[in-house]
Amino acid sequence: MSAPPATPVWAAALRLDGRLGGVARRWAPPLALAIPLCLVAAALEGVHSGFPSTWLLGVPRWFDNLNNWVTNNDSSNFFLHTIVGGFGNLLNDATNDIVNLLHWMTWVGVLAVSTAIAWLVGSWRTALFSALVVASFGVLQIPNGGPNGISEMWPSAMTTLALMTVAIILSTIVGIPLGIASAVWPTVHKLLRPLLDLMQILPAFAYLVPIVVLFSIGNPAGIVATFIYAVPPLVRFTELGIRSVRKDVIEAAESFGSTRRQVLRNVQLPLAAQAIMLGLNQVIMMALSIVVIASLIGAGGLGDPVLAALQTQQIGEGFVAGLLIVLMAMWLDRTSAAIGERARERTSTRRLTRRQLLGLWAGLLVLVLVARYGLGLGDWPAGWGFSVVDNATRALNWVTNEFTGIAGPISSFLTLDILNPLQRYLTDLPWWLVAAVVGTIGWARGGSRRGVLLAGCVVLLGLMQAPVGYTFQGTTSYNFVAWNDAMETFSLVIVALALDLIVGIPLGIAAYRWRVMDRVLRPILDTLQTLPAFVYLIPMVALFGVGNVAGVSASLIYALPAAVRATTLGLRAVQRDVLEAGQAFGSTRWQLLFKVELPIARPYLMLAVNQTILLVMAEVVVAGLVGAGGLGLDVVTGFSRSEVGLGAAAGLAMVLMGIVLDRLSQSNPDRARAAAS
Amino acid sequence: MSCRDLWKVFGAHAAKAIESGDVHLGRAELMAKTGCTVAARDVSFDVVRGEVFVVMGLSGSGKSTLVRCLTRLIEPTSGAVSICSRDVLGAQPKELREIRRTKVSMVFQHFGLFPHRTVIDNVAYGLEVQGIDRPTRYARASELLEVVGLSPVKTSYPDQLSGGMQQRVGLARALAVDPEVLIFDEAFSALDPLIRREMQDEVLRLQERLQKTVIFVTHDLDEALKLGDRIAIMKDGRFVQVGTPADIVGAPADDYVREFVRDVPRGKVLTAAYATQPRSGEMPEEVVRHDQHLNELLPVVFGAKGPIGVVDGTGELVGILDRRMVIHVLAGREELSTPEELASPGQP
Amino acid sequence: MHERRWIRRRPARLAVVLAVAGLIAVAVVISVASASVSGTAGKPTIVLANNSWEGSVANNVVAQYVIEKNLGYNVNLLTIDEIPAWPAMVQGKISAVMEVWGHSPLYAQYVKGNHKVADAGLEGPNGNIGWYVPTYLVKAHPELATWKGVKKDWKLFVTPQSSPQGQFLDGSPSYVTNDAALVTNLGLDLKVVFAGTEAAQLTEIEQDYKAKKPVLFYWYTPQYQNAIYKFSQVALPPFTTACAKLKPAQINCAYPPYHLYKVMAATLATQAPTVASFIRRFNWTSDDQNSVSYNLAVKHMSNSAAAAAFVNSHQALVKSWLSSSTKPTKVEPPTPGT
Repeated sequence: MSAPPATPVWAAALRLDGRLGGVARRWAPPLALAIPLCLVAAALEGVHSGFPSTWLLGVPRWFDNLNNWVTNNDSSNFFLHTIVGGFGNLLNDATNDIVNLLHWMTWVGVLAVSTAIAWLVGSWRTALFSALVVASFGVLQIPNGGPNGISEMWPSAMTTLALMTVAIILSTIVGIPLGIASAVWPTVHKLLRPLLDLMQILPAFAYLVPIVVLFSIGNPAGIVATFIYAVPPLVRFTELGIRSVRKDVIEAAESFGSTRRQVLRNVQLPLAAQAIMLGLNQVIMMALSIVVIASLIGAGGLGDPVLAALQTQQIGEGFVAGLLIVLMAMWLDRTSAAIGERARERTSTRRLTRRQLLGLWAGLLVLVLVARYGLGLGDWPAGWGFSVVDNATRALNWVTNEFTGIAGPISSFLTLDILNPLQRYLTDLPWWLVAAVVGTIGWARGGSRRGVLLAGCVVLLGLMQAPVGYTFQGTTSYNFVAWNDAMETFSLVIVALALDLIVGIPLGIAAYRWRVMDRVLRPILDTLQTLPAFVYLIPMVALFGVGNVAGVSASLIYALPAAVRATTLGLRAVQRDVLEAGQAFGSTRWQLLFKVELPIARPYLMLAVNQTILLVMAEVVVAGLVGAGGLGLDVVTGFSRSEVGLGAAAGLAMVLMGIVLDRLSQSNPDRARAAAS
Repeated sequence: MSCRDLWKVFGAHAAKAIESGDVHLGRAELMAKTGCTVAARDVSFDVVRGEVFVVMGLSGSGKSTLVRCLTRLIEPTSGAVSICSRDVLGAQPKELREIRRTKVSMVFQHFGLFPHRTVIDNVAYGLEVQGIDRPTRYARASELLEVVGLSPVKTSYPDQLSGGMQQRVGLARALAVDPEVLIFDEAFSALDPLIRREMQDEVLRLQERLQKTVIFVTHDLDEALKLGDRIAIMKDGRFVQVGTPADIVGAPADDYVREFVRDVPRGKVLTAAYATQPRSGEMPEEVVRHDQHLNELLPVVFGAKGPIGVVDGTGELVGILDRRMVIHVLAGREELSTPEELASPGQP
Repeated sequence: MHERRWIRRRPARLAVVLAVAGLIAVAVVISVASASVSGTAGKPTIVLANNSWEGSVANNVVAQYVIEKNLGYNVNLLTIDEIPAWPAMVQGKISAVMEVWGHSPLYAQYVKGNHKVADAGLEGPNGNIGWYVPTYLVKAHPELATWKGVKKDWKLFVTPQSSPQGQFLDGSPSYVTNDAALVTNLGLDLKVVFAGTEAAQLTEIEQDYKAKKPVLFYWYTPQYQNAIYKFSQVALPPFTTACAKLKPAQINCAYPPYHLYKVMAATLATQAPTVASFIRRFNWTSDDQNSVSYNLAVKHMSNSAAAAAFVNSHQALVKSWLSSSTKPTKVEPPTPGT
C-alpha cells in the first residue's frame, strides 16, 4: 500500500511528463544532491586521484589481533577448545566413519547401493548414469603415480563423497531451520539477509585461514568452508518456498482455526518441499565446486590431485581429476533432482511394497557381506582401468600450441589497449566522484536509501586499506591499498562481463532458436559450470601468459554458462499469445526476436548481467593464482602467507564491491529474483 | 450473527484517520492527507439463522475485506462483530481459534484447497486441527463427500479434479466442521456459467436442509438475486442499500444501484405489489397474491376482463393491479413509489 | 484405499532408515574390529607436509618409503602451504616438514619460543634464491650477467602486463621475496608481476623459452627443472649481514644463502622415537634430490617406484639414516632475514 508518486512541483514547472518526465524524476533528485557535494569535495580535496592514504579504519590490524588472540588462547579458552574443538572432532569422526563405511562396502557395494538408490528415486536412466559415474571413479586412473602418488582415483573419490555427505547434512541441519525462521520472523530475515550476502560474495580464500586457525587443517576445516559457501541457497530457497505458498491456501487454513504452527507444519512446509529440494540441489552443486579450494586446507579427496596438478604443472592429471569432480556433481545433481521430481509428481508409478523394499536392502546387505568376506574384495581393482592422462595432456598441449599464435595478439590487445588504460583511468578517478556516481545510479534505480548505502559502501571500501609501511608484530608487513586494487579488479570484472555478454547472449539466442544448438550446448555448459577452474588455469597461462588476461579468461569461462542460460530462459518465458500476436502482424523471425522476444526478456538479460558479475567476482580470486592482480591477488597472498589481516580486509573489500555491483545491476531486486526462480 | 459499525482503514495512521473524521473525505483526498484507504466504512448488519445474506459489489468495493474482518482474517480497525453471541473482535487468540474452528467456515474464490493433500484430507482438515482422531474425521469427511457427490475421488489430489469438483471439495470442507455460519467469498466466480448454476442450486438445496447462517459475497447480480434472501449493495466500503431482491430492483436507493439493476429481467424479480394501486372495498373477480412475480401474472393481467385484485398473505384485499403500471414497471421507465407505500394501504 | 496408502508409505521409509542404520552399524563394528588387528595397530600415522615445490615432494616420498618399509609406520603426505604447516605441527596434524627454507620468524616463534616444534637439523642441500634469465639470453646480451645489465636493458623485458615498464616475473605470492624492494632500491625500470602460482610462473617461462624470448624471473636451486632448462643467475649486489638487518622495504642486496633444514613436532620424539631419530639423521645432496624429482615429475614414476629406485641405488646412505650410531645432522638456526 504505497502512495502513487505524485508529480513533484519542479517537474510540473518544467512541464516534464511522460517518459522523459519519468527519467528526469528518477535522476534529478540524486543528481541535485550529488553535484553540489562533488563540487564541495573538489574544492576541499582537489581533483587529485585515488583515495587518501591516511584515511583508514585499521581493519587489517583488527583481524591480525583477533587471529593472534585465537592462536594464543586456542587451548585455554573454553569456547575455542571445547565447543569449536568438539564440533570439529564430531565432523572429523563423521567423515572418517563414512569413509570407512564406503571402503568396507567394497566397490561392489558402493556401486550396487548407489545404483539402487538412483533407481528407487528416479528412473532406470538415473540408475544407469549413476552406475556409470561410480564405475568411472575406478576406471579413470592416473598412471605411474602422478602428483602425490595417487594412482587410482577410487579412494580419493570416496573421501570426497564422504566430505560432501557430511557438508550436505550439516547444511541441511542448519539451513532449513534458518530458512523457516527467516520466513516466519521478519527480524530474522532482516538479520540474515546481509549475512547470506556476505557468505556468498566473500571469497572462500578470505576465510580459509581463520577456519584453519579455529579448526586446524583437515576434514573439519574443509567441511566448514564448504558449508559457509554452500548453505545460503538452501536458506533462501526454503524461505522462498514457504513465502510463495499461495495466500488463499494459508487463509483457508487459518479460517479453520489452525495455529501458526499448524499452518507451518500442515501447509507451508509440505508445499515448500519442492523449493527446499531445489535448494538442496544447489547446495550439492556449490559444495562440489569448492572441493579443490577445501583441499588447500587439507580436506583431501579429489581436490588434492587437481591442486597438486596445478602446483606441478601436470595439466593432464589435473584434468582427469577435475573431470571426476564434474561427474560426481552430475551424478549427485541428477539423483537429488529425481527426488525433487518425485516430490512434485506425488503419484509415483513404481513404489516398491514394504516387503520388496526390505528385500532389496537385505539383498544389498548380503551382496556387500559376500563381496567383503566371501570374495575378499576391497576398493576398485587397480588393473580394471586405464589412463586418459596422456591423451588429455596431448589434447591440451595441441590446443595451446595451435592457438598461441592467435592468443598472443589477443592477449596484447586486451592488455595494452583495454585493460591497462581502463585500469589507469579508473585508478585516477577521485574517490568522491566514484562514490557520487555509484550513489546517483543507486538512487535513480533503487531509491534514496540504496543510493546513500551504496555510496557509503564505496567509501568504506577505500577505508579498508592498511597504513603505509604497516607491520604486525614486527614479522609481517604488507602494502594494501584497497582503492587501487579494487579499481584493478573492477577493470577485470568489466572486461570479463563485456566479453561474457558478447559471447553468451548470442549463444543463448542460438540455443533458444535451434534445438540442436541447445542439445550441443547443454552438456558443455554443465561441464564448464562444475569443472574446477584450477584445471584450466595452466592452459590459460600457456595461451595468454601470466597476468590479467589469463585471469579474465578463467573468469569468463566460469561465468559464461550463467549468461547463456539466463538469456535462453528469458526468451523461453515469453508467452505464446504474445508471440502469436507478433506473428499475426507479419513480423519476420528477426523482427520478432528484436522487437518482441528480447525486449520482453529484458529482466532476464539484466539477471544475466547480475549473475555474471557475481560469478566473475567469485572467480577473481582464483584468477589471482595466474597473475591477475587487484583484490584477488591480495586475497591469495593473504591466504598463502597466512597474513590474516590482509586476506580478511581484502576479502571484505571484495564483498563491498560485490554488493555495490550487485545492487547496481538489479534495478528491481524482487522482480529479478522472481524471474530467477 | 451481527456486525456493528465496522470500519477497516488501511494505512499506518488508520485509527487517527477515524478519530479525526478524515475518513469522511474522498478517496484521493484521504490518500493525500493521511496515506490511508478505506475498505469498510461504518458497516452494520445482522444475519439470522437460515437466512442467505448476499454482499454484492464490484471489485475493489471492499466486500472481500469486509467478510475477512468478520473472522479477523483481516483485523478490522474498529467496530463490533458477534457470532453466536460471542464477541469476535474482543476474543483472545485462543478463543478466536475456537470460534474459527467450530462456528464459522469459509469457501474461497480460488478454492484454497491444499494441493499436497488428498481430497479426503482436505475435507477433514478442519476436524484435524481440532485434534479429532483420524477414523472419526474420515468418517465425517466421507459422509460429506457423499453429500456433494465426490465419494469416488476421495483419494485424488485437488489438481486432478475439474474446477467445479474442486469447489465441491471446498464446500464439503467448510461443512465438515458443522459451522453455524458459512461464508462464501466469490465462491463460484471462477467457475464456468453452467457449473456455476449447478453449484448455486447445490447451495440452495443444502441450505434448505441445513438452515445455516450464510453470508455470500459475489459480484454477479444474477447470483445475488437467485440466492439472496437479502442483498447488500456495497460501494467504496459502504452499504449503499440493503433489502430483498425485489427491493433492490424495484426501488433502487440511488443512481448507482439503479444503473446496476438496469438490465435485470424485472418480471422475474418484481412482484404484484409493485404495480398495485391501493384500494379497499369489494373483492374483484380475479385475484392475485401480492408476492407473486409479475412474469407469472402476465397471462392473468392480459386475459382478465375486469379489475384484478391484489391480496396479502392473509387473503385481505390490498389494492387493484394496474395494467398500465405493470407495463411501466416491467419496462423500468419509472418508479412510482416505494413498494411499502403501495403495499400497505392500511397506513395513513 | 486411502488407508492402505498410509500404511504402505510410512513403514517403507522406516525400512530404508533401518536398513541404512543397520549397514552403518555393521560397518562401524567391523571397521573397529579390523583396525585393532591390523599390523600398524597402536602406532601413530606419520604425516609429512608436502609443500608446493617438487623438491619437497622428493624428500617426502623417500622418507615415506623408508619409514613404511623399515620402521613399520603408516605415512601420509599432506598437501599444505609452508606457513600453515607450523601451527599444524603444534596441533599434531603434521609430524614433520622435511625441507624448510628460511622462515626465521616462525623458527623464533615455534622452536626458540614455545618449543612446540623441534629443529631436526640440516637437510644437506643449500638453497640459492635469486634472479635468473635463460642462458640463451646471456649469450646474446653478456651484460645481463649482473643487475647493472638489467638496468640498461630493461626494455627487453617489457610485456603487455608490465607495460610501459619491464617485467620481473615472480612466482607464488606465498614465497616471501625482496624483489619489489630490490627493484625500487636499485633504481630499475621494472614492474614485479606475480604469476600467482609456481606452475603458472613455470608455464610462462616455458612458453618464452620455446620462443627464445627474453624473460627475467625469481628462481632457485635445487630445482629439477634446472636439468631441463638452462638458466643463468643475474648477480645482485652481494649479501651482507648489515643488509639483512634492514627493514624489508629497504633491502638492496642479494638473497641470503639458505641452509635447508628439517623440523618436526616436539612430541614426535616420544610418540615415534625411531621416526624422530630417522628424521634427525636424514641428509642428502642436491643431486640426490633432483634425481628423485626428475623421476617423479618428468618420467612420471609413481612415488613408491621413484623412492625404491633411489633407495636401491643408495643403500649405504639409507642405512646410515637408520643407524643410531650415525650422528644427527647439524642444527643451525636459519639466517635472519630468510
